[in-house]
Amino acid sequence: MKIRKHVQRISRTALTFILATGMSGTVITTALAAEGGMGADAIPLPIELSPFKQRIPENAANVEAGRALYERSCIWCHGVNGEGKGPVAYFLSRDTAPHPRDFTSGIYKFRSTLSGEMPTDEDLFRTITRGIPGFMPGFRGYSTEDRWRLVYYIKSLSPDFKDAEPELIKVVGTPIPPTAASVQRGYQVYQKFKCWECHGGGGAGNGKKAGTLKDDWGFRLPPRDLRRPSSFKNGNAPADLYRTIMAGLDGGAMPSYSDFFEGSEQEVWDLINYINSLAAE
Amino acid sequence: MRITRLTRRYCPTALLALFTMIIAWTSVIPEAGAVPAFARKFNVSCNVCHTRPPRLNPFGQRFQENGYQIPGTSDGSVSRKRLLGGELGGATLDAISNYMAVRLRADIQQASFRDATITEASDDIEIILPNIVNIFFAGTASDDLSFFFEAEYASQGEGAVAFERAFLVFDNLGGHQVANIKVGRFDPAAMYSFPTHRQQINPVGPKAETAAFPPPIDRIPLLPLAFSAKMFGLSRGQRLADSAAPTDPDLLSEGFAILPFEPLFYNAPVSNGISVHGRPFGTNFLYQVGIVQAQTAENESRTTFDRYLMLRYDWLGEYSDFSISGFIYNADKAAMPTLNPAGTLIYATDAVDWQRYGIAARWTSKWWDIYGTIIWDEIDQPVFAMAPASLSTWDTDAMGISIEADYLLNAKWLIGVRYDSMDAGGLSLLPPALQGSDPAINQDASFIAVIAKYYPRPSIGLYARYHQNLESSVKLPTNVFGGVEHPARNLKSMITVGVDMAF
Repeated sequence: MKIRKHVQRISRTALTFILATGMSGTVITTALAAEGGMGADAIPLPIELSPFKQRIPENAANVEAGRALYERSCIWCHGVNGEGKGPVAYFLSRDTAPHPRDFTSGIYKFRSTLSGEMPTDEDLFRTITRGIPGFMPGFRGYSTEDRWRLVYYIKSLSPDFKDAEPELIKVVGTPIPPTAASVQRGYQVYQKFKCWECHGGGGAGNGKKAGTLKDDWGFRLPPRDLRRPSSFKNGNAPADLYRTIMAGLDGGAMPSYSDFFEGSEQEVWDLINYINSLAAE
Repeated sequence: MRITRLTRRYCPTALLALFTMIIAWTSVIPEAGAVPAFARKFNVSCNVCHTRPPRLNPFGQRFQENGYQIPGTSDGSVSRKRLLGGELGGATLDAISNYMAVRLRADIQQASFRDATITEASDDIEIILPNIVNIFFAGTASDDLSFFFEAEYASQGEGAVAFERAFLVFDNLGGHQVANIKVGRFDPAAMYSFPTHRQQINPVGPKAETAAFPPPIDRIPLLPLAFSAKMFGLSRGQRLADSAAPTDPDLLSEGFAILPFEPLFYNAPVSNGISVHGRPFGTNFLYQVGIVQAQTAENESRTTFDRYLMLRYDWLGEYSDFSISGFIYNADKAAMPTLNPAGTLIYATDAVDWQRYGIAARWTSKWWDIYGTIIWDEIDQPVFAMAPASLSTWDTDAMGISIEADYLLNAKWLIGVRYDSMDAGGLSLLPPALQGSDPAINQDASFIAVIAKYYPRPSIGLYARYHQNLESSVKLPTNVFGGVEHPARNLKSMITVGVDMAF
C-alpha cells in the first residue's frame, strides 16, 4: 500500500510547536504537597463523625464537576452510568465478588448506618479516600473538595439518596486494651455467634459455609481471612471493625449484628480484640 | 543461563510432568509473596490494572498514561508516601518495595526445524532458566514527575530482543492530560492499541548473526510479525562496516544487517527520544507525537531523528472498551540496500527513506480481550550504480498483520490464540546472472500460536504455548541465507512451557 510521501512526513515545525505550547506556562513543581483531608492510618470515622471543615456545598455545579472527575477515574470499573458495568469489572474479578458497586442500586456495604439504610456522605468520602484493599485504590490524590464532588455525583446516581435520613449505628464504649481476659471474652463471643461457620475456627475464612456464600448479585463470596487484617475491605482499625460488625455489609453475606449486641455492645470490643489476636501479619 | 540441552528427542510426557510440578509448586506459594510494586503501593490486586498480567486493562492504560498516578489525579507525592522533613517539607518517599519489582521469565523450549540450522541441531529441548529477568524501578518522584528504569538480563544470546527502558515523564503539563512529556529510552508504542510490550505470548528472540551479510538466521523470532522490519536485503550501511574495508563481509560490526523479522521503528522495544502524549479534548481522544534517534540511518556522521504521530480514539460501553489507533512513522535515510554477490558487499548509491504506517484496534468485553494491528512499510526504490547489482529486483512495500484473542476461562485460566502474517518486501530477486532458478528471496511468513496460561496467583503465570508455521517449505540454495531452507520456512513449530512471574 502506498501513500504519498508528503502525507507521510511529520512536520518538524509542528512537533516543535506542540512541544513548546505543551510546556509553556507550566512549572514543574518539585515541592511536594501535603495531603489534603484525612490521614492514611488514623481515621476516626464513623465513631465520631468528623466535621470535614473543607466540605463544599452540595449543588448542581459540584455534582457536574464530580461527574467530570468520575469520568476520569471511576468509569473504568463503575461504568458509564454508574451501574458497575465498566470494562474492567470482569477482569478484576471473573467469577467472585466483589464486583464494582452499582451506584444506582442504593445498596452499599461500607456504612456507619443500620443495615438497609443508605450510607452517610462521610461513609462515601471515607471509601473514596481510603479505597478498598485489593480492589480499589485510594483517591487521596484528589483534593478534599474534589472528593466531596465525587461523593455528590455518586449520590446523584441513586434516587434513594434523595431525602434519605439514615440512622447511625449505636456506638457504645471505646476500644479496650487487648488483655488476655478481653481476648478470651472475645473468643466466647466468636463462638456464641458462630462466626466460625464462615470465617473458620482459626479465622482463615474456611468455615463450613465458606464455599456456599454468594452476594446479592449471585457472585461467589469468599469470607474474609481474619488472619490478614490488611485485606479487610472496610478497614482494620478497631473502629472499622466495630462498624463492620454492627452495620454488616449490605449486599454481601456479612449480616448486621447490632440487634444481637443490643445492650451488650461492650462485647464487640472484646470480639475485636480476639479478631486482632488472629492476625498473622 | 542455558543450563543444558536435555535430549535430542522430543519428550512431551516429561514436559507435561514438569509443567504439572511447577503448577503444584506455585499453588502453595503464599499469596503475599507475589505482589509487584504498583500493586503493593496502592494495596490492590494486579488485576486492577491488568486483564491478566502483563496485559493492561483500560484502567491500567490510564494509570500508565498518567505517569503511574491514579487516573485523574496527580498523586505522585501523596499516595502511600512518607513526608520527610516535617513542616519543612522537601521530599516524600515511597518504601523501596513500592517502586521496585522483579519480573522473571523462564522457558523450556522445543523447536522443530525442516533442516538442521547452522549452529543448532534441530529438535533439541532447551531449558532456559531464567530466560529473561527484569528489574524495575518505577514510580513517582513528585506530583506529575514519574520515572521508569528497567534493567534486563536476557539469556537468548546474540540477536535476542532486548528491552531496556529508562525515562522520565513530566505529566499533566498545561492542565490535566494536556501534555505529558516522556524523555529518555522508552518503547514508543506503549499507548498504541497493540503495544509492543506486554504480550501474553511473550516474544521468543531470534538466533541470528547480524555481523554478516546476508544475515544467517538459525531461527526467526516468534513475536507479532506486524512489528517486524519485513524488508530483506537491507543493512545499516558502511558506517557499521570496517571503515578501511567497508565491502569486506568479514569485517562487519554487530547489528550491520537489518533482520527482516526484528521489530523496528514505532514498534521497537526501545528507542531514545522525546514523546508527548495527552488527551486535551476529553477522555476519548489521545494524541502522541515523538522524535527518536534514528535506529537504522547510516552513512551520515551526524545523529538523525525519526518522527512519528499516533492518534487513538477510545469508546466505552457496558462491560466493554474499544479503541482504535493509527500511526505514521518517518525515517530518513533509514537503511542501505546491500548485496553480497560474491563475497564483496555492494551498496546502493544512497540510503533509502523508510515510512511505516499502522492501524490497530482493541476490544475488551467482559472476559474477552481481542486486538490486532496491520502495519505497512515502504522504502524508496533502491538504486545501484552499475550492473549486475542494478539488475536486482526490489519490492518497496511490505505489510504485516497480527491478531490475538485472549479469553479468561475463569479467575485463574486464560487461553489465547494469535495469528501473524508478514508480506515481505525488500530484495526480491538477485540479478539474473546470480539468481539461477532461485525463488524470491523475500519470502512471506505466517504463524499461528495458541497459549494456555494458569495464574495460581495474580502475578504468576504458568503457560504452555505452541507455534505452528503456516507456510509450506520453499527450498533456497545454500549461502543465500546460510542454510538450505529459507528462515521464514525452516522453523516448523515450537512448543514452550514456562513461567512469567513478577514479585
